[in-house]
Amino acid sequence: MPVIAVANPKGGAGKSTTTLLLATHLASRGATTCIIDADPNQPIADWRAHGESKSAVKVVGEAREDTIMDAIEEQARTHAFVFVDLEGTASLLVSRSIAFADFVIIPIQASAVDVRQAQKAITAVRSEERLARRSNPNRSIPHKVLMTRTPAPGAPVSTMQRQLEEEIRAAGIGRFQNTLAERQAYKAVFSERLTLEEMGAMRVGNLAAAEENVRLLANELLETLTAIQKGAKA
Amino acid sequence: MSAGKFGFTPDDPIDLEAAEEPLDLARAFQPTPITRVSPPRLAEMDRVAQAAGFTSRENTPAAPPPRRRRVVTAQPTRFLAVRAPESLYQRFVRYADKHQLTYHDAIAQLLDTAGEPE
Ligand SMILES: Nc1ncnc2c1ncn2[C@@H]1O[C@H](COP(=O)(O)OP(=O)(O)OP(=O)(O)O)[C@@H](O)[C@H]1O
Ligand SMILES: [Mg+2]
Repeated sequence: MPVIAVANPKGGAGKSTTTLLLATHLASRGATTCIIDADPNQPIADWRAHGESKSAVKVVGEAREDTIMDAIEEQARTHAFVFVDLEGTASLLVSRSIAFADFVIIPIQASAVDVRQAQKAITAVRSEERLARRSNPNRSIPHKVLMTRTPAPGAPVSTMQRQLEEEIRAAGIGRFQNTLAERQAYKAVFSERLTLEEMGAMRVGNLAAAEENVRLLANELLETLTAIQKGAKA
Repeated sequence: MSAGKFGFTPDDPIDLEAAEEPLDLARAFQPTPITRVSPPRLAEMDRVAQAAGFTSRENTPAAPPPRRRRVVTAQPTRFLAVRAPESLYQRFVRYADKHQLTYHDAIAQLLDTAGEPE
């Protein structure tokens, strides 16, 4: 099933990092996985084209507003997971990707001062969902917020993050219970153009903890998607 | 584990953990096609997005005129999914767009034209 759009019009929220980590992780577990790089800056297409990673993840670059539907349709036919990494702006490329998604991940930088852009992504999700329901009452676009760049487990969580989480909860917006911690290794996947696994020999902080964080987050994603599938069938 | 001359082997316990390991959930998902939408439908999607503050960053051609609003019927509706060759799909969508018909109105009109009773 899942076409997973990773969206937040706020730049630097962690969309590309989240996409690359989750997609390469699922690919390493044997799932057919594709990333559509729908950011004109092409961070992930660049990772693939100029890097040496052996990851089985397929990367499709250069998606545009007028080609995104075709790109998603084509990749969804042959991949169990299709991630769409979106640019940090409120463009039609973003809204169209959301409209075709089975699930939307909205990464929010936990320490960000301005998180209003995230609400914009959620509004787009809800509007597209409402529109789609006019012709298909069963259509829903499930979505969850993901807190990114959080303190490593055990380190104190800021009051601001707590307040943010509380507001998200009060607004009835779903949130991943796992967060993506701030880790050197997550920057290194882009600078080294490798997967986390492939960086085993390098010194990039606590790699084992970085891998474990991604594994737990991916498991939560899989459970969420399983629940969505069951709900859709019921 | 190599067998001895008489075929006896040392105890080689089956790794129960490995044997019982369930299929990884990551491999439990299958590729599933998405449903494409017609250009007027896409234009509608863009309109709600624009209302939410999303704008085009490309010089995409202006959205086609909105399709005639569906006539609300008292009858229950049922879902008809049709897989068709690309050319027929395009031909049908073009027909509906040209006459600004919803797909079900387009089908109704074609049936009417064919003289098929209601
Ligand atoms: N969990 C993390 N740990 C460490 N660094 C991170 C983490 N998440 C993101 N970063 C860093 O923050 C910066 C922005 O992250 P990223 O590129 O993933 O954001 P984005 O939302 O895709 O940005 P854009 O809107 O520009 O596409 C990058 O330099 C990235 O390495
Ligand atoms: Mg990005």
